[in-house]
Amino acid sequence: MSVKWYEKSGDLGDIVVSTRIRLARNLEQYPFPSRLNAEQRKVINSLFEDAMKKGNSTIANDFDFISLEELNPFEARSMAERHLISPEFAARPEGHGVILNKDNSIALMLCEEDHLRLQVLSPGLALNEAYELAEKIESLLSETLNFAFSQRYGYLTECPTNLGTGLRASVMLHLPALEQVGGIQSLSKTLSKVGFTLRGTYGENSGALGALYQLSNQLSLGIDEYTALDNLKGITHQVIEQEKAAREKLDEMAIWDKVFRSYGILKNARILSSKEFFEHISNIRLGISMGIISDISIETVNVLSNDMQAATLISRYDEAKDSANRDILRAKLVRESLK
Amino acid sequence: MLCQKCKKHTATTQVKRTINGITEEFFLCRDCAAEIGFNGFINPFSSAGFFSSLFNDKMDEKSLSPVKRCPKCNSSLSDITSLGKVGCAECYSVFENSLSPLITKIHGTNHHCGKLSPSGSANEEKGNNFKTLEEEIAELKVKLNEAVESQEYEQAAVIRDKIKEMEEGK
Ligand SMILES: [Zn+2]
Ligand SMILES: [Zn+2]
Repeated sequence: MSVKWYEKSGDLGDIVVSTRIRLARNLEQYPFPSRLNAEQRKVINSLFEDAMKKGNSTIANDFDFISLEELNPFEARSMAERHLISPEFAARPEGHGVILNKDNSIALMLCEEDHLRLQVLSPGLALNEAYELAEKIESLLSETLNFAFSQRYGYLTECPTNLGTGLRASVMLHLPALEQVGGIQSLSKTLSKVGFTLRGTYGENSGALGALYQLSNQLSLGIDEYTALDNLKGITHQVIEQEKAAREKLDEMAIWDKVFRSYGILKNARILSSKEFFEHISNIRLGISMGIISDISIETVNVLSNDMQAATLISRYDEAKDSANRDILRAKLVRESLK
Repeated sequence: MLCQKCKKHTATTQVKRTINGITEEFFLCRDCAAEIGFNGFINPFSSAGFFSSLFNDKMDEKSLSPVKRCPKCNSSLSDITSLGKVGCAECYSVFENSLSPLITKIHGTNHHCGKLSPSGSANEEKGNNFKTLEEEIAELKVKLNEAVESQEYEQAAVIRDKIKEMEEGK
């Protein structure tokens, strides 16, 4: 199995788990996806598949078209857990497909809310690099496909919130100290006033699972791509500073205790629910970031954070279908990986 | 309310799923929502709900008759507002007058700046569909000046009448 993008760590990788770039595009001559049936979606899927293949052959060889109809539901959900496709998309396989590269860092979701949702994922903070890669693929596709575009509104999208550049850039941040000092809500309020969204990656607004938060730009019209990326980068650095300041405020001994308790549990537990796993792996990440733990790498934390999710376990291990067995298996895999 | 899956914990997450137009609602606790995986996530890119909520407090359905439809995808404005989704690229010009203020409300502007489409940037005709009346008038005034300066008075008169007509039609 080839190394996946999320099994690596990048710039500021202790706090910035990953970067995601998404470009929305639509084919000029077809109605937007909500007006298409499964057969029509398949026609559009194959147009994109052909366009990828016609392009530069070295790129083309790296990609596979995956029909969601041919996956079992757990495989599709597992892709959603790893952020390759959206959860809504995974739940509706009929006529849906995705073009995916080998290390899973590039995913072309077809006929989701737009004909094309081109996503580039990268470990750590890498907004410009990820955007440039997305732009390269988009340009390649536009050699053979005509994307709906107007001088006034830019790239036309099914939902007007994505008009303009069609760009949504986001970073996944680990903010355990800000969460603990109760700073998330006011921060997210402030950010939304200046055009950014901060919300929990998993679960609802009150307390995100594993203290993981998604920070993204809200606006795509009237702002060019690089300005939007620069703004997000600036805001990301400010949030990182705030998280670091919050860490200074916490009682040092209490942090050490919390980190090592989690270390003990993950190394020894025999039954591990997904919620418990996320809580403890969050403390491990904090411990690595603060120099408390040195024998576990951020890469290991990233691998586990992806692989220990329910559907991903089920798609790989038959015995994981039963939830009690799954928790036992999760504990075993975590122990082995931290040995 | 108790979680509908484990029936043990308090339900905190409302999960909606729409299949073939039928929307089902579930109430789950945080653990079950997370365990189920995809239903518990918040999709950071899902904005249709937000968009249709903008419409709901803005639009008066009664004022929309007689029903105008997009010639390409057959959507009416009320189709677009109830779904929170635009039907096709053409809809943006067909329903320009209704959509433009909402777009401005969402983005604080209604002018793209950023990457230009290789085909779109060369296609002047397409761009014209999206000019406002004011912009067209401003362009005509430039043309009028040019015509006067080059002493093409007949042409200038035609342009002047056109401007007058457009200004009255506003
Ligand atoms: Zn439950
Ligand atoms: Zn239309």
